[in-house]
Amino acid sequence: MTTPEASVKERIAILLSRELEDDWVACTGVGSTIPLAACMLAQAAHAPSLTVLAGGIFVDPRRLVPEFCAGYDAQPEHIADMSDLFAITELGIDVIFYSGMQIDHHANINLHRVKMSSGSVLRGPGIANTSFGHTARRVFLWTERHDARTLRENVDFVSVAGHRYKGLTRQELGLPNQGPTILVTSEVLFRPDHEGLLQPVGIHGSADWSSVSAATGWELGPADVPTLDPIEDAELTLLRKVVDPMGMLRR
Amino acid sequence: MGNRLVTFSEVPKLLSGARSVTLGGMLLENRPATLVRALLREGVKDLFVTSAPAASWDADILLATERVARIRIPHISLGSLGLAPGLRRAVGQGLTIDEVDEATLIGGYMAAAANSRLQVLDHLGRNDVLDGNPLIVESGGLRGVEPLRVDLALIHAPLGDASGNLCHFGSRYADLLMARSARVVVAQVDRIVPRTTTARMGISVPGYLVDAILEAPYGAHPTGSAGAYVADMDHLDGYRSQVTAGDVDEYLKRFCNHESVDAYIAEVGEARLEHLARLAA
Repeated sequence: MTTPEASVKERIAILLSRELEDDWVACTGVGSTIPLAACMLAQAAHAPSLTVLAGGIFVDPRRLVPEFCAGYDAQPEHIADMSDLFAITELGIDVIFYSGMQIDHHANINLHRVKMSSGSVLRGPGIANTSFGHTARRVFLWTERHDARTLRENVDFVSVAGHRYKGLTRQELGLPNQGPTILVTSEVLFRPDHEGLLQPVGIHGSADWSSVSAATGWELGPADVPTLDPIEDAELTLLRKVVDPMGMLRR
Repeated sequence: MGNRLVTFSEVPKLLSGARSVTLGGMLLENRPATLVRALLREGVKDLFVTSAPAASWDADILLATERVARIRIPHISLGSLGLAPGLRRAVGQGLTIDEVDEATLIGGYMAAAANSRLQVLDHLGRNDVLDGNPLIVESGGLRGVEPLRVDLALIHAPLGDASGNLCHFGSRYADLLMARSARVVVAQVDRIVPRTTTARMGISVPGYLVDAILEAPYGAHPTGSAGAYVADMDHLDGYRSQVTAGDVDEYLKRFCNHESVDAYIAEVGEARLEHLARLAA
């Protein structure tokens, strides 16, 4: 049902954009082209007063650039510094986007240390800002992948806590916000159930259910997950013409 | 204000003896690459290295060449190129990593900049970075971090004047906080301009915080300089391949042993650098 020509990155950006609301303040990571495209698409489509903090520093960029914090001019309306970012992190925003080398059933993410099958440990890049995980009102998770190395029953290291950490719920941990409310992978859209376990609520990729299930590190259950509303031509056209004219999401 | 302009040959004596250093800029932008190359030539070892919350080539080359004993940087990568090869290599060789995030790192600079004993962090969360982290202390019923002070801050800006005033076209990131947290501040700029120009453009780091300033065109290469040139991803990809293959000495020999900024520019190639400058427009 998905528009065939939409790339994986474009589909994820469009699905995330649908979740964003007007007047929110959203923050993306420094290397997060897909969430930034989602925010810019939402601004163009249905949330003109959404404020985007790209990398936490560049306020409302008007241009999607190949690399953030690399000398490219994203044409933001305002540029902050780390003192500003410290303050806004403590004050809180509406939504933060996170991805991970590993994401688990409880929506914990890991960007620090992965245990390899050889027994060695792969050091990841780490994560600049963990605080938004509890000072932002909600967390949107995304990953371009859908494989069992990424989607794990339990992560090897908790960089940002999801809905259960060390056996405790967010409420028991004293984390005041909603935590992760969505995970979009290359194939599936997940939302947490009442126990905070990520459950598939819609398919948007091309893989069959048995493949998706085999590529997920936790039990997905029966193949009764609906296909999501298709990507509309208008959404894809807006994304390509207004947000991503250089086609970065198609590479 | 005095003249703080130094020549390339005067830089080494400013760096010698430093045991702890902070690197300005953020990820692939405004990294003090020329000064890091000078640091490498000085043969420094057992450094404590910190930065803004995200670093790249500058921290990684120090790690790849085994100059670092301890590091305190939340994120190190080569941006879209992925994992930093020097970090991966150093982890297996006894490197101590202080796990921090933005709040616990910047909080340390803020405490140092304000000469406070503690930067209160009232909104610490729960995760494997923060739980049991020895850098988080309690005092008077408050939790926070102690000041992060370093011997040396190395900072890059596109423009500066002989008095040490710096102008950033993009973000100054944590450069101002770092300058206030370091015993000695050495800056490199792509271009020295008259003081009237920096005053008109808006000074982002004042000269009274800067001990020395070096003119180094394309000085942030292979990272980018906001408003001047973008990061050289092809160079960084080559760097990654060489370090991963164990050829870091070859990389050092070719790119880090020059006796002048002009010699480095000639090695990289003016046409390539001009191309990177056009991409920043």
